[in-house]
Amino acid sequence: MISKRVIPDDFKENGTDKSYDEVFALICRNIRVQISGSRFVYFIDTDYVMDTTKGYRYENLTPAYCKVLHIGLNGLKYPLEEVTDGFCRSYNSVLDHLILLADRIIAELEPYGTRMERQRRWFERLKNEPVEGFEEAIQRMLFVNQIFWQTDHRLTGLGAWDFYLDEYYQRELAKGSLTKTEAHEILKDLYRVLHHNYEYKSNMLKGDTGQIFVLGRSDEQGNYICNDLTYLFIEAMKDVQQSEPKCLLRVNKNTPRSLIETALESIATGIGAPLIANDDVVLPELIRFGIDAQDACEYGTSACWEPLIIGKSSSLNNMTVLNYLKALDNLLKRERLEDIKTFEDLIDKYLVYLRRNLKAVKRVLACHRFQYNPLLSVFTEDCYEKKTDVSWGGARYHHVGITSVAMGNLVDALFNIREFVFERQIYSLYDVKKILIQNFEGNESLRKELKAKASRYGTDEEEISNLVNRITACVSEEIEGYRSYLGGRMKTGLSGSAYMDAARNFGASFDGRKAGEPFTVHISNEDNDGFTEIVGFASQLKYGAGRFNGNVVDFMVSPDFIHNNQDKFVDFLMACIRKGFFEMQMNVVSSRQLLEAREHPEKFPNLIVRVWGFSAYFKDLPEEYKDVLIKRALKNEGLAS
Amino acid sequence: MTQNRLMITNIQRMCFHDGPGIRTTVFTKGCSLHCPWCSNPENLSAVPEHYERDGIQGTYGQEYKTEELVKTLLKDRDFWGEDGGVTFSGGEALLQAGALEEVLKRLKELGVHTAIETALFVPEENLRGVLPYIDYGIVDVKVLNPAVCKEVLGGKLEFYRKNVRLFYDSGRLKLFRVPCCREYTFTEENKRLLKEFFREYPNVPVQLFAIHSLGEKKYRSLGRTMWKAGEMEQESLEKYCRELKECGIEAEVIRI
Repeated sequence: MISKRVIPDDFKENGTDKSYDEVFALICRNIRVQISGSRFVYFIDTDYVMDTTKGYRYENLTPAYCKVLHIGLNGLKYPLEEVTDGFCRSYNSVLDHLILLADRIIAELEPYGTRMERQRRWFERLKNEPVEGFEEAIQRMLFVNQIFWQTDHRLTGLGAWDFYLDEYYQRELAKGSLTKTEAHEILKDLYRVLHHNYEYKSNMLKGDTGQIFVLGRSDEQGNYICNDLTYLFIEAMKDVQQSEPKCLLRVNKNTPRSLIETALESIATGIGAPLIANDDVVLPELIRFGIDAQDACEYGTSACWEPLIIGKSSSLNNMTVLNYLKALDNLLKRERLEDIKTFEDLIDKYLVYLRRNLKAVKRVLACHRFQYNPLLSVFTEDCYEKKTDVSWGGARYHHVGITSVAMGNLVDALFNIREFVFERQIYSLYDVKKILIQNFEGNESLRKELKAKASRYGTDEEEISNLVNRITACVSEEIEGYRSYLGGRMKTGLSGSAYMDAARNFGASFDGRKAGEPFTVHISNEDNDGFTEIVGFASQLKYGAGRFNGNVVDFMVSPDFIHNNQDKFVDFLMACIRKGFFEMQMNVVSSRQLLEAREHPEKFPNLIVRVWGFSAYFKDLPEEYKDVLIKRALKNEGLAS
Repeated sequence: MTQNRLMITNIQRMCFHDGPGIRTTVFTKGCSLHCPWCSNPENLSAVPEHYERDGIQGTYGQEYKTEELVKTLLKDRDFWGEDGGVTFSGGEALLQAGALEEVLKRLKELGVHTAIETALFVPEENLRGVLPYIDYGIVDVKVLNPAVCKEVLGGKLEFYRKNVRLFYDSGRLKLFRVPCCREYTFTEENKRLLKEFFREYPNVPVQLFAIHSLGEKKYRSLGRTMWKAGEMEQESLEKYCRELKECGIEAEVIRI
């Protein structure tokens, strides 16, 4: 994981950091080439990784893998007469050194003779020729992927491989050199090879690697497009049963039922994937935000759920976290509470503090400058034409995004204050402030009462979605004028991975949450009468004006519920798409299984769960994350005390 | 109870077991029977009941005006699709036949598919009134020995049989459902009676399910203790299901 990184000494000279070009060259020259003898050559020398720790680095992005499919590495370079500046030299240097690395791999393959003959040919061809076959295409994209990991790009996405590969798959099918069954086996090997080094690839927690295939898509007319490989990628993922890589399935109301069935079969195994994104809701918002319609159709996500345009975007979608409870906390601690006479006054004041918090976020983000990154520039569209590095604005899109936490806690806290302070008048706002500062000490019965109330966030009562929309509209307004140093705009969403981290040092809240206890997870509500309710709620939310930076509905589902009702669950998912959720993910686990796995991890080495936007082995999770999952599962099954 | 209000304990959205498609199930309060294995004790009494659960107090039972109820139910309309809709269960929904008729009528006007799960131990006129507005009837079949039925469930079997015939003849009875309990409904005698009973109603499929103890917490919240039934073996259910099939009765075992 990221904390274990060792920075090689030769990246410095007399105590000074060497240039990007020099370090990249050293990496290609010196990394240990590892040949495993399997179908694909893929390795990361985790002892010799580029040092990107001194500045704002690029991560959570998906390179334009397809750039290497129709042309060799040499063909991507600037012709000599076009090399007009340092960037062009860096750009060509990156490609020269990738060729050098390819040559080193070829040399290492030599001793394997005919056994690795195909692979040797693939690397020879990589230098100057376009791809011919299905496996060769995969190998080429794997080569690009591994060099991104080698140069410390964290959370490197995978993109729309079902589309990149379709041409080669179809060609080989027609020729008779590949069958569907063989393609399925090849994809299983692809998943396995990408799973190697998963600890190294993990970011905050084991399994948090950002390796995500984005499958299926819509065209500008709203037609749904998928192919054999869309199915095969999901089936292969289901069959290998690893925590990652995972996939995201883009859907719209025209998605064939058979594909939803395939997705559900995978989800029902408990691997937490595919995550489902609803193009009917996502695409219009991307276009309204100013993204070209054709580009929008090529969106993927940053590791988890935040949409970005694959290979055309240097957007960083997780620049910081907005904690929605913070403004309420600020209000209670700083405001003259006797001036707040009504619930409406409270909301108005809340929004004032929220705007202040957002101003602080904007100030912090305005200070970020990204690291010079010619490798990413090679694999990002437009950088070549503009002769501009991504860190100087070479990409077509460089909007930035923030995630958020605690909207659920905020909404419940606000409505509880309405009831206890303004309606029943049991407490004053000062009492509320005191109770929270004292972390409910001496008020345990009140805390229990608050905790026992069914959460209202995620119910489809109109006043709930109205309030959430009003709050997020305020965020939209506040961030509307923001421009990054590259001219990028700011986006926000209702999903966030920090529901644990941001809560750890945060005080109690009036939803009955004690200081330090986790916040609610994404758009979720285990008190709902049925999953239809949370989907109904999600469909009432507004995602426009930059509010599309990840909005995932998150369910806990017991395995029996799906297994005993597979057909109806497919009906349900199809109805959900029509209803209009933004994104959706499911944790298919039973509380009994999780409790047993916590007690006897040795019996469940491969139990996979969905954490924030990734899948992980349950045994690898810190205890606090296990607790949250168990509590949610118990609640979902109606077994929570 | 005025006729335009329905006393209910729960509106359960996204139900998969109470009729075709995805359904919203309304649990009405009040029952004419007292089955020992009942897992919904909060639906036995027809009046609101106070409960205490994990230190939190509350009331089982809330009156809904028909229009208010219809509005609440329609929230899930987009999920019902062509075959899903609303199911009334209980308790015994037919005990509130007047208000139920109003709600059903309104739902039918709106084009909603309607279903009812009933034990049918009610006066015949209660069924007659609602029958035209029901698309899909699920009828519970329990103890078929009149004396045991009277003594254990508190119901007169002759009323039940008459109602079943009426329902069947209307063409709206679509499913029989048997809660299988070793001590009462799954005795050798009752299994034989069940088989004979099903033969009287050709083309009505049968669902068998093992009773469960999921209602235990609710009993505790009402200060009562749940009757402990002997464990039902899934295999014995499967075996009986096969026997029914051999007699030409369409049957399946479901898990609830």
